[in-house]
Amino acid sequence: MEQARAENSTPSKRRYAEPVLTEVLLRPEEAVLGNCKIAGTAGPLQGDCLSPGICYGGTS
Amino acid sequence: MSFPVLRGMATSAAGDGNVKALRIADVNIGLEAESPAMDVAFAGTHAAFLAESPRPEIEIRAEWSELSPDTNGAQVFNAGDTWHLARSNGHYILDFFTPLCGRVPYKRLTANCDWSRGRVTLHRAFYDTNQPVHPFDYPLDELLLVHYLSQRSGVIVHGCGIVDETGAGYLFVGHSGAGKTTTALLWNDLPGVTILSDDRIVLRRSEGRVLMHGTPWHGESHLCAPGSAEIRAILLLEHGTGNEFAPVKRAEAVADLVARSFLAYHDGAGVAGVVSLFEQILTEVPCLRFSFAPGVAAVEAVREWARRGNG
Repeated sequence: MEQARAENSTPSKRRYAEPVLTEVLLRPEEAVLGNCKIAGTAGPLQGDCLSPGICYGGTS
Repeated sequence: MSFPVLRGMATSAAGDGNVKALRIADVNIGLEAESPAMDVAFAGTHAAFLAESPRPEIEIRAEWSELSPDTNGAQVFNAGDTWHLARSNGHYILDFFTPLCGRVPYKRLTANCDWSRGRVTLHRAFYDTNQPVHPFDYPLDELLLVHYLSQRSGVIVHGCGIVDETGAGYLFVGHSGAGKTTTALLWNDLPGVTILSDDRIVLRRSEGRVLMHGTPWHGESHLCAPGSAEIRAILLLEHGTGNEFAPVKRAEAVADLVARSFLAYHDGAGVAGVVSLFEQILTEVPCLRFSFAPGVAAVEAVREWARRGNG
């Protein structure tokens, strides 16, 4: 009878699943718009940029 | 500091030299030169987003002046060499730096607390004042939208948005190097397909729907377009040896999307709002990991996945 009760109750119960910690990669410099990839380094005057105000954020 | 409503915002797309307007993700942004001799302009791919904007949601004035390293404000966020955010008297102060200009910011945005009005001050000595100037350039343009949208159920994601010939939108999300530009180029030649951007897509909830919007911020393909679409699928992009889809648990998908988005990390409520937005989106839109090999078969794999009714 115990076995029958257990079988009857099984479908309504979800099995316990141990919490899993998953690490997600964050690239801080990209995430905060702290770089300019076209120029290769931070700042709009770098690389191909010649003066302030000509960088349009062409990154990928 | 006050931010009076801009005069003469009902201008043509071409503008009159001193007043211009953009429309990005249904946000109208007005830009007016405050200094008499200043000729403000949008350039590059911003030109495709010029708009008439009688009532801009964001109003920006630009001026020449002299800037000093001191903002007289409390530091809120330091993004390293490129920009710092401070707060003073209820306003935000965004300073922009470049190593060539040292500790003096070449540009400063002073914005009200909901990021709807602001003044851009350009350090006169660093510019040729006889030439048209682009106050709304990177990274000010994106940072302004990041902060504005974070208070209004919106977010910029690091993604490639593609609308197929039926109007269905596919959002390919990934860090730099994940394959966004490659994906955009693979789809670009197909008839009826629009690339909303190969690098930056805005997601916004509007009238009960979440739309993905094109932006002028592109990657190496330089592909971008104004426009929007409902999202058929979100695909977390990664390079592989074949074209395979893998399910992602919702919590993991939210985390992956957050890590591939541009958030106002100093603003807890704003970050929580973006997380909530992603949770809502993922109750309506399937999200899969898409491992792909560069080639037309990758496009066909997505189309086949959609044809099978998975979308």
